[in-house]
Amino acid sequence: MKFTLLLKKMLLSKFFVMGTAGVILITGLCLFYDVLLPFDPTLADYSVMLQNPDWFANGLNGHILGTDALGRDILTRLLKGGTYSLKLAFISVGVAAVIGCILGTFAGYYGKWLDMLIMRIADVQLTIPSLMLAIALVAILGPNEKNLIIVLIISGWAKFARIIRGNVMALRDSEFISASRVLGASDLWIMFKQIFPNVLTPTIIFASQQLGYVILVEASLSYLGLGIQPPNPSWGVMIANGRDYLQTAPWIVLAPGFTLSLAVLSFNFLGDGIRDVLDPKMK
Amino acid sequence: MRKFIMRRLFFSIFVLIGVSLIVFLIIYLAPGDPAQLILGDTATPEQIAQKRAELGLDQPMWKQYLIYIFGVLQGDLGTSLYYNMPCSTIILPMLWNTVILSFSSMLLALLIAIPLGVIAGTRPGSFSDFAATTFSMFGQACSSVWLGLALILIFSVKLGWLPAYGDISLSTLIMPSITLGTPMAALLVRIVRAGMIDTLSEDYILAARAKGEPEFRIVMRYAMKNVMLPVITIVGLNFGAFLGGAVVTEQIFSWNGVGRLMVSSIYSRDYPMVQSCLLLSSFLFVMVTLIVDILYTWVDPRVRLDSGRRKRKIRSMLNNSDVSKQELTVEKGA
Amino acid sequence: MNNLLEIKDLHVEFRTMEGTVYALKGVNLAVKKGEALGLVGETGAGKSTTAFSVMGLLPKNSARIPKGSILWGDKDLLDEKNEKYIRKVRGDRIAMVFQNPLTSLNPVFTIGEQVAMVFRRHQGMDEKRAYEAAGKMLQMVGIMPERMSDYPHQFSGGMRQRVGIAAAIACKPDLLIADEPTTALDVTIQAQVLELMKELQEQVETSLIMITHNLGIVKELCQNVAVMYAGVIIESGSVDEVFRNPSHPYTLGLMGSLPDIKKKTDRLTPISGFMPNPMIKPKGCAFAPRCPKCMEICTQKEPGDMELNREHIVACFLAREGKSNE
Repeated sequence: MKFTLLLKKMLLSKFFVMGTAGVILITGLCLFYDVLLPFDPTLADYSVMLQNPDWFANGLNGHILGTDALGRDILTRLLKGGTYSLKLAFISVGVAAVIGCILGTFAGYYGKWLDMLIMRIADVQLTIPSLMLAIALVAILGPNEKNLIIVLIISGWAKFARIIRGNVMALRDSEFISASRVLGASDLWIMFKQIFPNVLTPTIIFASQQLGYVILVEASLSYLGLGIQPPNPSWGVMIANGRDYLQTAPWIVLAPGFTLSLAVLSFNFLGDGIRDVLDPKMK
Repeated sequence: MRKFIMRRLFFSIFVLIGVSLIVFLIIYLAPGDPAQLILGDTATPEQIAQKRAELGLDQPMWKQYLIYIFGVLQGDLGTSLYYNMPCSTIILPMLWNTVILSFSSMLLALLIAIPLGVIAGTRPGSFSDFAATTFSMFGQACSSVWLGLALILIFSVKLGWLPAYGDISLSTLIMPSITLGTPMAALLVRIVRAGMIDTLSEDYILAARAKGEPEFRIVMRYAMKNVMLPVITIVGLNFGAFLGGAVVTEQIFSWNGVGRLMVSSIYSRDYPMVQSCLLLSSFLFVMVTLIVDILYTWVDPRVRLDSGRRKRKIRSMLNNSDVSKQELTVEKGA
Repeated sequence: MNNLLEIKDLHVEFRTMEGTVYALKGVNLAVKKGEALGLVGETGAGKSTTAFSVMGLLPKNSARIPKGSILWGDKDLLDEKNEKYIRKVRGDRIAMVFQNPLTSLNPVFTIGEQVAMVFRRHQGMDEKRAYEAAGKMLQMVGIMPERMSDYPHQFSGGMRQRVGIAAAIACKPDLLIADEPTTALDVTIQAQVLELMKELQEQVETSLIMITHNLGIVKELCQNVAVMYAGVIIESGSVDEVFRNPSHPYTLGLMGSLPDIKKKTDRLTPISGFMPNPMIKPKGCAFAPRCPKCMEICTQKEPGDMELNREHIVACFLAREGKSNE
């Protein structure tokens, strides 16, 4: 698709514009939190425990969203936590997409036993409710950042593989593939040069839709204590911490919760927007 | 038709075997020796060795797997390390609680989503459509994590209308159901709306109008039946996922269900219980999906009453939409 | 006025994202009681749009009717005040058979139910009696009552179309509009269905508007014919007259493009060019760009209707000058 046409479509899609704006805003804030705010996200300061949000009374030096039970500035923790969530989401979805794509392509192209093998594994994995699976895996591997990424990748590859496999199977019997075969192209060449560009679009669309979902999964795991470990912040962790203070200091819960929803919303919008731009028929 | 059921059944069994394999392996991959876990840190090596023999842990893996499977088929899901009782006795009442929660959440979601979706679908571009679509967008971004706590904050802490936890009763059921059901409702609104828009543009609706049928009847009777078909599939799928995945919601509301049990079992390293929770949830998911598939083929006359070729085509359509099955599953941290 | 239906100067536009589509640009048509009128034209000429206008089935969001009237008896069907009346009339006095028999039947209802609904709606019958009446109707079109509880996908295309016809003539309508009812069927089935329609038309004494691009069907079934092009009727009259003496260059082209079974032909003679872009309102005659006999005036002014004789009307400057037959 020509670049200018792509740009035009992007601007026309309300979802895309809003989603991109949201994502850029959140990502930007999170990436630059240490430049913007003076506080340390993990250091306790008992002199300012459970302070109400200043909002903007003291500008960027005040506790804009208040402090938590250990006197840590909530906004700082929020933004730092965001970096974890975003990093996890992008990496795990990216890797899962690549793995799922490759496996799905092989499965769809070769069919028969390879297809059966890969798909059955995927089926089995998708039968276990994914959050439960993630929890169990974390239990086995231990909750740290690296393992979280692995767990999220394991939870995610199967969905990609399935979608890609479906698309590849549909493409496999098209004429241009047969033509290539007749001309003597090798299977690998066909797969990567001809099939792959065609499945790129659904992959991108699905990947963008998965980002929001993965952020939620990470938040849930962290809430349950099985994700990012304290004292590192994560939206889920903050919500868990804040639960006990719901009555006295509700902002501890509301801030990360709201941000979480906002982030997921933005990513969902972005996902829908990408779909609108690349393939509006897929509604 | 029978062939289809048989095939699906076979597939389900196969998948369950795969699941059981994975579940079984969990105990082996988990850190820590199970015997030591039971006996505690003060156990001597001989005691540990004895316990291992007792638990049959020194047998070859495949033998242990078979023993496990046989046990499961007879209803023995292992013994909980934490409760020191058979897992099955602990799990089953919890399972029932989860079922109740799932059921009421789904019901709530349907009651909200179907009217909303119908209104939006019959008046695309109108304000009600905008409202419904906005609800759908925001609803899907609502995680149980936040929604649940927000509800507690408002209705329990500030207003004092509803209890945040307690024995199962209507008042304790409301908030968890809203929490679990809202993302589902959001998804359903989208599906119903899209389905309604698509169906209303079909020729047979035009033909019904040509016959002079009033619009209300056309929507409620002639279009609805068509729209409901994909809804059934999705409701069934997510019901199955609810059963297993309402983990966070149960945690927030201290709801004694399978999800909560699983989390606490993880904390207490009660691996047999973890295994049992996984196995049972997957089993239920498989069962529900199977029932839904069969239900669908029964409800859609095109699939119900026809030659094998058409069924195969539609079945492959259904199977390929497996892809969207998980995509359409509202597990997002539910 | 012994006209059952009279369409006067009907203009229909569709608002789309790309612009306005001028589908009908002043259609004049009349159908008498008991008459069978063939409405002929290429795809996109506006035949279905005309039919939907009569039935009131144009898409509400995009369709606009800036000018014109459709008189049914003494009521204008386009008048909003008559909305309730129109709904009563639809399916009861004016009925329609659709082009695609597969998609015009609801897949999740039995054919019996779909015919019965017409009786329930317009003749106030209860379920049982409506179902019985539906059975009789289906028998009339050649479908055995045992099959009433079957679903559309269990029938072949020809049978499905018969169901559509049964539902349409259930209430013995005064006017039946058939929108290319046999286009989606293969030739042998086509003949059967047409045979059926002919019989029914005679039995029930319904007037018929037969929309088709197949001139053979028109000759078989109809007394009068109207030829449509780019949203206007360019020639109309009795079938005998028009077929014997086609006066509009387009009609001539249509007739000429039919291969003669008696002659040996190497090439088919189509009409060169395409129908004009409906989003542009042309100046002058819409057919001018393709017309082999185009004159200067044709691109300047729209040819109005010219009466050649009592049974023959043409919209062409050439016809005015009586020079069309060369």
